[in-house]
Amino acid sequence: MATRNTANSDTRTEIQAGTKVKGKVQGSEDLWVAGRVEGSVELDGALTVAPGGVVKAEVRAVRVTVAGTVVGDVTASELIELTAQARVQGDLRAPTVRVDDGAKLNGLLEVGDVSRVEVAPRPAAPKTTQPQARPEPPEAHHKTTVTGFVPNAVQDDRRRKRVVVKKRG
Amino acid sequence: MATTTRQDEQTIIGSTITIDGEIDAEGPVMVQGRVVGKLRSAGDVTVDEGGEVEAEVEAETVAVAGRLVGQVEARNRVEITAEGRVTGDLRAPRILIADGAQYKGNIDMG
Repeated sequence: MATRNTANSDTRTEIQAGTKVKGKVQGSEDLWVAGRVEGSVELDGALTVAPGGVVKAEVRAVRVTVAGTVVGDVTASELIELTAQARVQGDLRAPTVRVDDGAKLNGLLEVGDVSRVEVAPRPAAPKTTQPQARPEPPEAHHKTTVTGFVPNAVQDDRRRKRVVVKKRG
Repeated sequence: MATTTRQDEQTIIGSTITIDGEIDAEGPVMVQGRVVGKLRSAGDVTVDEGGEVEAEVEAETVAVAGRLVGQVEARNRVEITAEGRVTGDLRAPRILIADGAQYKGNIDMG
């Protein structure tokens, strides 16, 4: 007993395939998800959604790497990476976003100066699709709408636009 | 029922992590951080030293070296090590309480 996670040098939380977490996840270390997380994730660390992993949550973290499925808005204070297997439905905000060829994204993408972004907790606001409900971006903000947020269309895979912002380099 | 605890298949809740809600696992779960709510596993649940669980716990074997408050149901056994502190009712066919462990609650060994 009391086996430490020696495989990784630093402490890392791992939600294995077959594990389901429902509720609020908070912490200041890296979180790796091959299972399922529903609710909210607030991390002062990196979130990795492994292939097969599903995160249905509002996510705030320093870095977010998606190779699985994410449904929900994601805010990263440093970087969001979508690998070729990534399936994302929700709005992404980060100073740097990398999208690999093959990744699928439905939602608003905000890349650039997100200095207002903090990893600190915020009051949970109900998600709304009304554009005026979003906070006004700063002037230097580079805002890109990748696919219009058409709630009825996102279920239809064939109508999904394939988003290729930047090839793997 | 064989419970092969493969280290790489273990769900780990790290020491800085708090989960407020429910965990339902097909494999073993190690808690080094904090879990509040419900914790179910088809394998073993280990509350490591420093780990805190305030939850209803259901698992094959429940081993506690940290702190646990809540009802515990184990299909195999409950084990409280010398560092463990447990408050709550235990239900298991086998119960091991080490010298130095703290425990308060009702025990039902069937």
